[in-house]
Amino acid sequence: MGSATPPSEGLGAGPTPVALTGRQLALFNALSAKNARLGSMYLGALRVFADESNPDRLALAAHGLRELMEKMGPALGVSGAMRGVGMTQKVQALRKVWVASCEASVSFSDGQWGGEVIDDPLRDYLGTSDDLFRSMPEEARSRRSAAEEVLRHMDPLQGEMPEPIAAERVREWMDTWKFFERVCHHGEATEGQFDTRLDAFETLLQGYLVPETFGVHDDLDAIIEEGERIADS
Amino acid sequence: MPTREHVQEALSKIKTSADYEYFFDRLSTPDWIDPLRESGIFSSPAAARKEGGGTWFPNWPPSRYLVRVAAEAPEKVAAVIADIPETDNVRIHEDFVDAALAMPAEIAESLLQPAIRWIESSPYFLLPQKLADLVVHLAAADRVRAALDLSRGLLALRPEARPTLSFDDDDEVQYSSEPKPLFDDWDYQEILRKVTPVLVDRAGEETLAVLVDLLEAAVLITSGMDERPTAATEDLSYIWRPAVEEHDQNIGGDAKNSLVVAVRDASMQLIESNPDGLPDLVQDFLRRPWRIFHRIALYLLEKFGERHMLLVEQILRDMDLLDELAVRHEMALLARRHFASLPVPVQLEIVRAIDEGFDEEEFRRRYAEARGEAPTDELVREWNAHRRRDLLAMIGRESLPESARELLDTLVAEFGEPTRDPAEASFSVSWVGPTSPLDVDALREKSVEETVELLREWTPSGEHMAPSPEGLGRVLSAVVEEDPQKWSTAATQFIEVDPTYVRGLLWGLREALRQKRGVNWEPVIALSDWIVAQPRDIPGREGEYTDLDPGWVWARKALADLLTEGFSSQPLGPPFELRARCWTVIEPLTQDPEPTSEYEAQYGGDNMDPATLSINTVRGQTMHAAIYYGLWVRRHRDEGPGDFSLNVVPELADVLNAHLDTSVDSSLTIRAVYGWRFPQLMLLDRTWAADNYRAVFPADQDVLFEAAWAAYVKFNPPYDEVVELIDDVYVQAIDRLDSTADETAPYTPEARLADHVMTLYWRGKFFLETENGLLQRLVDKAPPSLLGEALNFIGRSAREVEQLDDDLRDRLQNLWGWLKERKSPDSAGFKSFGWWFGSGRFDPAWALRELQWVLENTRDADPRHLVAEELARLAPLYPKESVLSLRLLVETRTKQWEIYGIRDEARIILDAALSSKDANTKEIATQQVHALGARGFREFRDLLR
Repeated sequence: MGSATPPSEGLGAGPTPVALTGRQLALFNALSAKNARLGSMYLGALRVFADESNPDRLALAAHGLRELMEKMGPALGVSGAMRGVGMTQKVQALRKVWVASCEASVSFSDGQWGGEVIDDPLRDYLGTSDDLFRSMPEEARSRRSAAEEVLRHMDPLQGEMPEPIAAERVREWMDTWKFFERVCHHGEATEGQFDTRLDAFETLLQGYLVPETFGVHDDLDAIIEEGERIADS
Repeated sequence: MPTREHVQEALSKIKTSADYEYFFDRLSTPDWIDPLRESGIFSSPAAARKEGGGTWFPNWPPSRYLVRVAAEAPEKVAAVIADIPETDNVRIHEDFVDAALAMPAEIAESLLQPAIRWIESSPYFLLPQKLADLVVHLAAADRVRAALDLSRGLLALRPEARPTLSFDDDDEVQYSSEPKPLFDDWDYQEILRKVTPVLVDRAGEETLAVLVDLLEAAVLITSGMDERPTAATEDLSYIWRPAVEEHDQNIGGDAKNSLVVAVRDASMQLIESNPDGLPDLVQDFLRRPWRIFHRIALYLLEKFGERHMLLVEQILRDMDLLDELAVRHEMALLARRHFASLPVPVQLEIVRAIDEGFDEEEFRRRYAEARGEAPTDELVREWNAHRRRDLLAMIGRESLPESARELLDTLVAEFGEPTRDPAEASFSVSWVGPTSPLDVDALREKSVEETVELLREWTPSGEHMAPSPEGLGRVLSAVVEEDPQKWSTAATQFIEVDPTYVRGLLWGLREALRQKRGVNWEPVIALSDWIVAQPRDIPGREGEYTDLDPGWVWARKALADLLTEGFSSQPLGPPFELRARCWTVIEPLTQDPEPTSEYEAQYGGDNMDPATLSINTVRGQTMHAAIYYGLWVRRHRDEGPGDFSLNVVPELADVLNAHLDTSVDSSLTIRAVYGWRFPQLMLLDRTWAADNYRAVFPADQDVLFEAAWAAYVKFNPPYDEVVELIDDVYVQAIDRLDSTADETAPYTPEARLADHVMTLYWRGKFFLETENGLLQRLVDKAPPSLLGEALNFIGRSAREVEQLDDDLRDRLQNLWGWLKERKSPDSAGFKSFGWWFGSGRFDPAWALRELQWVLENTRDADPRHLVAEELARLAPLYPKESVLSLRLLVETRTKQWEIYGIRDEARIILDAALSSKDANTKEIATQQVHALGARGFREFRDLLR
C-alpha cells in the first residue's frame, strides 16, 4: 500500500503562527525568565488554542495549561506537588481491591457477589474504602495549601497578603485548575467559556509576574487621599 | 471619613504584597481603623512560616499601621490589639509593644497579660528589649504593679540541663542545671540594667523582693536541690562571682551574675535614699541561706557602714563569718575599711578572739575524717598559726593595734607571708608569652661582649611567668636584626653559647637579610661550622619543657633558613670564595633526620602538606638551601645559560641523586622540595631534569607523585619549557581529577592546574582542535566547579590587563564558544562568565549576547556587582540588551540584599532604556521598574514620571 502524498497533507497546512497580545507576550517573557519550560508550556497551549483547524484544540490546550499550573510549583521552588495521586487512579486502585475481595469472598458464586456475609476479604475492601474517603478532605486541603504556596512564591516579595484577597486568589486558582482538568479530560466547555477562563488565569498571573506596581500605587494614593480628605473636611 | 467601601476598593486594587505594604504605609490617620476592622483585616495576623529548615517571621502591614496611629488613638488601638487572634509571629508582637509604648501607660497596661504571653511564646529578636522599655514606661507613670508583673514575666528563669561529661573509664559527671533566661544572657543583663533603677525609684522594696526571689531561684537551680535550704549553704559563688563589686576576675555575664549586680545595685539605691534601712537589709540578707547574700550584705556594710558601726562591730566579732573562706573577700574589704574605726578595746577583743578562737577539736575531727589519720600536734600548731596570720593579714597590718601588729610580724617571720592577699578575689592568671630579663632598649645599649657574657651567665629563676631564655632570645633577635653587621662580625663569640640564644642570633640575621641589610658572612660561616658539629639533642633537656631549646636541632633549622635567604639574596649573599665552606655547612644538614616518617605521620596529613613541612623541618629547608646554593654558584660562574650543568656542582648532584632514591630518602617532605624547585632544577641542568623528572613525579607512586605535583603546581607558574618537558605529568594530573567534586577552592592543586592550562591557552600554546591536548582533557575531566575556576581565572586575568589584542580576544571568545558546544550549560561553571563580562575587555555586543545566554541558562553570573557595573557602563549604547540582562539579573535573585547592592547601576540602566527611542526597549524598562517596585524598591517610581 502506498500513498502519493505525505500523510500530513490534507490535514491542514501545518502549525499556525500565533499572534500574542501584548499581555501574553509579557507573560511569556516573565514565565520564561522564571523557567524556560514554563514559557514553552504557555506558548504551546496558546498555539494549540489558536489552531482552529485542530478539532481537539480545547482539550489539548487545557492539558497544556493544567500542566503549566502543576509545574509552576516545582519551577518556583515550592516543595510538594500541586497535585498528588489523582482521584481517578485511587478509584481504579480501589476497584482492583473490590474485584479481588469479591472473588475471595464466601458470598461470591457464579461470577457474582451475593452480599450475604461480611467476611475478611470484604473487610479488607471496606478498610481500603475507608482510607480513601478519609483522605479526600486531606487531599483537597493539600491541593489548596500547595496552591497557597505557589501563589505566595509568585509574589515578588513573597510577603503577606490580606486574608480576604489571599483566600480569593486561592479559590480562583483552584477553580481554574479544576476547569482545565475537566476540559483536558474532554469535559464539556464552549470556546467562550475557555476564553473567559484563560483570560481570568492570565489576569491572575499578570498581577504577580508582570505587575504594574506604581499604577496600583497611584490608584491606592487616590483612594487614601479621598478617604482622608473627607476625614479632614 | 474613610469607609468600608474605601477599604474594599483599595483591597481590590492590591495585586502583590508590595502593594499591600504600600497601602498601609500610606495611611496616616486612625480613622481607617474601624473600616479596616469591619473588613476583617485585623482578624488574620500573619503566622510564622517554617521554610527550608528555619522559621521566618513575616512583617504584617496592619500591625505596623497600628504602631503609627497608636499615639493618636490609643484606646482604639489597644482594643484592636486585644481582639487580634493569638499569633506565633514575634514581629507582630514587637509591633504591638511599640504601639503600647506610644500609648499612655494606663492604656498600655491593658496589654499586660498578652505581653507576658508573648515573651513566653516568642522571646526573640528585639521583643525582650522592647518589653523592658514597656516596664520603664509603666513604672515611670507609676503603674508599679503592672511594671513589676511584667518584670517577673520578662525576667523569669528556667533550668537548662548541662551536658554530661564522660571520661575514658566510663565515669560520667552530671552537672546540675543552669538558670537560663527566656532569651540570651546579654539581653538579660542589659534589661536588668535598664529596668532596675527606674523600678527601685518607684517601688524600691518590692523591686528588691522581685530581684532577690529571682537570685534565690537562680542559685537553687544551680545547687541541684529540690527546695530552698534553711541553714547557711555553700553556693560556690566565690567561683562564679569572685567579687561582689565590679572586678576583673568576674568573668561571667550569665543570669546569676547579672542578678547579683541587680540585687547589689538595687540595695545600694535603696540605702542611698534611706540610710537607716541598712541594718534591716543586712540582717535580712544574712538570714538567707545562700552565701552570695551574705557576701552582698558584707559589701553593703563596707560601703555604708560608717553610720552603723555597732552592726559592723557585731559582724567583725562573728567568728563563723571571719573563718568562712567563701565570704573572705568581702569580709576582708569590710575589715580593712572599718576595723580601725572601732574602739581600741573592741579591736583588742576581736584580735583576742582570733587568737583564741581556733576550734582545735573540730579541726582534729575533720582532718581525721578527711585523711583517715589524726594530725600531728605540730601540724595542728602550724594550722592554727596560719589561720591567725591570715585573719590578721585580712584585717590589714595598718589597721591593727600595736600588739596585734607585733603578733602578725612574729607569725610572718616564722611562717612567711600569706600565699596571697586575703582581700584578693579568687585566683585567675593569664599568660602573655615569654618575658626577657632585659628589653630591646636595654640590650641595644650593651656591647657584644657584655651581651655574650649575660647570655652565658644569666640563670632564669624558673618561676612561673618569670623572665625566660626564650624571651631573652627573642629580644636578642630584635637587636641583631637592627644591626646585623655588628653582630655577624662577632658571630664566633657565640660559640659555646646556649643554642636558644644562637638561634636568636641566626633568626635576627635572617630577618636583617630580608630587610636588605648586609651580613658579614665569614664569621657566620665559622660559627655555622661549629653549630653543625653540635649534638642535635642535649641530654637532660628531652621530654620536658624547660624554656630552653632541647638541643641544636632548632638552631640547625634556623641555620638552614639563613643560608636559603643568603643564597637567594643578591648581592647580600655569601662571597663566592666561601663556596667550599658553605657546602661543608650544608652537606651535614642534608642528612639531618628531621623529618622522620614518624614526624611526617604526626605533623603531616591534615595538619601540614609536604611542601609546608619542607620549610618547617631541618632537612627539608636544607634541601631548599642546597638548590639555592646551586643557583648561587651558577650566578657566579658567568657561563651562558646552556653551558651550566650539575657537573659544575658535583657536590649538589650527589645530594640530589641520593635523596631522589627512595631507598635512601622516602620522605614526602623532601619529594615536595623537588616538585617545588623543579623549574630551578631545570635551570641548573636541563639534561638532569629530563632524565629525572619521572623520578621526581613518579607515575606509579601516587603519594610521592601527589607530594611533588602539589608543590610544583601551587608554587610555580607554567613555564613553557617546563610544561613541554613534563607534558605527560600534566596529563597524569588531569587524569587524577575527581570529576564529581562539588567544590574547588582557589589555590588548591586542582585550581592551580586549571590556572596553568588556561594560562598556556592564553599564551597561544594550545589549539582548541588538538585532540587529547591538555585543554581538551581538562575540559572533559574537570568537574563544573573546576571549569568555573578556569573561566574565573581568565576573566580576572582579562580584567587585569589594559586591553586584549585582537588575536587574544578572538582566541578567548573562540574558547568560550567551543566550551558552549562541548559542555551542557549546567556542567561547566558558565556563571563565571560574569568575570569575563565584568572585565570590559571583550566586544560589547558579543559580551552582552553571551551574558544573556549565561543568565538564561545558569540563572546567575558571578560576580553580580561587576556585571551590574559593566551593564551600567554599556547601557547608553546598548539600552535594550542591558535592560534585558538587568531583568534576568533581578529575576534570578531571591534575596532582597542581592538587589539592594546593585540599585545604583539598575537606575542608570533603566534610565538609559526609558530614554530609548525604541518602544519595545521602553516597554521592557517600564515593566522592570514595576517589577522592582513589586520587590519593595519604591525608589524607582520617579523614573516613570
